[in-house]
Amino acid sequence: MCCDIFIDSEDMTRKGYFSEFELMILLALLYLGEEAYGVPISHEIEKRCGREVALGSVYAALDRLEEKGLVTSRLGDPTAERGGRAKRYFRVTDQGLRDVRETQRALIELWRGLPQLKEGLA
Amino acid sequence: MKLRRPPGIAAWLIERNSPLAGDLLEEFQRGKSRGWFWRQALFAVAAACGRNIRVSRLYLKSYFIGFAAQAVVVFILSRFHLWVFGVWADSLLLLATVVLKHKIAGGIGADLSRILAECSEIDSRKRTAISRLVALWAFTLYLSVYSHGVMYAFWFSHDVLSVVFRRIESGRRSA
Repeated sequence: MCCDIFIDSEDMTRKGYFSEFELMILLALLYLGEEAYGVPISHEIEKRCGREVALGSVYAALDRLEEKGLVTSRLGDPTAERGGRAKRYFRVTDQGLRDVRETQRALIELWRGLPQLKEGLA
Repeated sequence: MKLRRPPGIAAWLIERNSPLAGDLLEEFQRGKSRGWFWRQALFAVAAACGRNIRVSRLYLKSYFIGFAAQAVVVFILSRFHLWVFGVWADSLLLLATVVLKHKIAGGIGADLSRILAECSEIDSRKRTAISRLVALWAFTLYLSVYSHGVMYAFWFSHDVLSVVFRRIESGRRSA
């Protein structure tokens, strides 16, 4: 029991749940397919959700998702435009896809039967 | 095509994360402002630090829980004058405290080094200076562990001496 005190917070994130932002990133990865790296991922979220995102927070979320085994990454070729730095391409794993479907099912279930939400009504 | 130069310090801050640095540079070459580059770099550093701080917070929580539990046990023992049990319990608590603090000091030290490493690509000279600072900081923590040990030793001797004096006193009275 005393060992439970020292459970690393990284272990605590491996619960199969993800935040709203992580879900957005997973969906953006599914939209983009093979061309998913930092810049298009942030553009996709900005375009579809209408909010500006910091690339640092995109990478932080992607690292968390990779630790959970929901995405994988590979390095592309370096380009001069990027100062000789390679792009890091991301892809959703089978486990990630299963988790996204499970979340979709759960959210639809929660929305179903909910009365119409009106402005000013909590 | 002539490439624009990004702000030097901001670029240095994110140099360690090469794909992220490449992405920011790509966007900067496509016309994003220097202010935008700075904001993104600072966000990236904050995100990296935030992740490490979350880990440290867990260690700190365990530190305070350990101390709160210890304070409650010591209070109960002193309240009921369970000195014999108290001596043993104090020794066990001392051992537990030392183990806990070593674990915590090591954990926070590792996190601090990781935070510093995340912030930038640190060259060997700076790394030496930083590691000296971290060592000094860890030393002060360890010192607090041993000063705590001295305090326990004082309490322990006080308990033993008070028993000896009480026995001498009762021996005198019966005589």
